[in-house]
Amino acid sequence: MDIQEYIKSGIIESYVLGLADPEERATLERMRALYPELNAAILNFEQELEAAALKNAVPVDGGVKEQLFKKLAPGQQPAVAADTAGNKKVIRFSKPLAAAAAVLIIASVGYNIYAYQRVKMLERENKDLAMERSQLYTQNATLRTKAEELNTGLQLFSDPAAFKIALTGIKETTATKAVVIWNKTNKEVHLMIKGLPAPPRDKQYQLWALVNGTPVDAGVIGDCATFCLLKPVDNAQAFAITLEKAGGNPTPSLDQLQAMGKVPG
Amino acid sequence: MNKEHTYREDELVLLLKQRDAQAFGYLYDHYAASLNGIICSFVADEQHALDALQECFVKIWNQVQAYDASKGRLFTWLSAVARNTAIDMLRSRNWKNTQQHRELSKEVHTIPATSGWNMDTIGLRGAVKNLREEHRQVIELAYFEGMSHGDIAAETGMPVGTVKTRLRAALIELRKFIK
Repeated sequence: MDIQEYIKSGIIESYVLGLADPEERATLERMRALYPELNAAILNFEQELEAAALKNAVPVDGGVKEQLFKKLAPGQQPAVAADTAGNKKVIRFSKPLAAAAAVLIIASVGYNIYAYQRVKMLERENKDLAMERSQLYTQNATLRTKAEELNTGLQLFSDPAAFKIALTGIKETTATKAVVIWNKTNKEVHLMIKGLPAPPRDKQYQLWALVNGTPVDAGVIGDCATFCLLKPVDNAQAFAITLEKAGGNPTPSLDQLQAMGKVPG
Repeated sequence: MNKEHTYREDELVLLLKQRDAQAFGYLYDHYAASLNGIICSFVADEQHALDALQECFVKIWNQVQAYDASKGRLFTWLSAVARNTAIDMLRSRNWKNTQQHRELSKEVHTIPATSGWNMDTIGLRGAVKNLREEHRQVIELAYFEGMSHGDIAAETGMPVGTVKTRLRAALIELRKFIK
C-alpha cells in the first residue's frame, strides 16, 4: 500500500471524526504505529479540528459550571475552591495506592493487637519466672544451710577424738532421746535431739556433764535445727538431760531427769 | 490571571483519571465553549444545548478512564463525547416529544438565544453547506445523524462500498472548508 495515497484517501478525516467502521479503525491504528508520516497527518487533522472548534466556540453562561459541579459533587464545589487555592498543589492518591494504604493500616492494626497480646503474655510469663526464681533462691539458701550443717555434723562425727553418746530414756522407755558428740581434744559439746517432746512453754531442757559423780552445767538446749553447740566440757563420765525452768538451774532437779548416757570406755 | 495553572495534556489526562476536581475545572474552562460550539451545530434549542453540554461534561467526568491517548488527542475524544451526547439527545423520544410540543407554541422559538448562534453557520454544519448534494447528504447522515455505513446504505439504497467511497470523498472536500 502506498502510504501517501492512504493518507490522502479520506480515511484520516473519517477516523478522527468518528465515522470509520471498526475494520477501518483497526487498519488505521495498525498503520499509524508503522508509519510516522501517517501518525503526523492524523495529529495534523486533529489540531485543525480543534482550532476550528475554538473559532466556532459558543460561550457558555457562567452559572452552568457551578451547576455542573453541584451535579457532579453534591455539597461541594471543588473548582471554585480550587481556584482560590492558587498555586497550592493538592496531593491526591490514586485509588490503588489508597487501597494499598488501607490494607497496610488494617494489617498494621491487626499486627499491633497481636503484638500487644503477646507482650502481655510475655510479661505474665516473666513475672511467673521471677517468682519461681526467687523461690528457688530461697530453697537453695535453705539447702545450703542444711548442707553446711550436715557437713559440720560429718566433721563432728568423723573426728577421731569425738565420742558419740546416746542419751536414752530412763522412765517409761529406753529409746534414744538425744545424742551428744563430745570432743575430748577441743572439749566441744554438740547435741542432737532425737526423741524428746517439746518442753512446756516456761521450761527448757538442760544438759549436765557428770564429772566424778557431780553434775556440771553443760548449758540449756535452745531451738537448734540440727546440732546445738553447748558449753565446753573438760571431763565427763556421763551426760544427762533434765527439764528445768527457762534459762536453766545451777543444780539439776533430779526428779526431772529425762535421759542419760555414759561416755564409752 | 497569573494564579491559573496550565497543564500539559498528559498531565491533565492523568489528573482527570485520578478524578482531580481542579483539573476538571481547568478542562471545563478551556473546552466548554469549543464543545458547546460543536453541540450547537447539532442542537438548535438553547436549553437543550445547555442540557447536552452538562450531560457531555458528566460523561467526560465519568468516562475519562476510557480515554486512550494512543488513539487520539484529548480534544478529539472530547469532541466525540460531545457529538455522541448531542446525537443521543436528538434521538431520545423525550426530546422529540418536547420538540413537537414546542412547535405548537411558537413563542418559545421567538425568544432569542443569549449566545445568539445560528446552528446552520456553526462549524462543520456551516462547512457542509458548501458541498454538493451527494456529499452533503452522506456527511449529514454519518456525522450529524450518527448512522453507520450499513444504516446509510439501507437508507439510501447505495451499496456499502459506495457509501464508504463517497463518505471519504465528501470528507476530503469538507476539509477544505474547515480550513
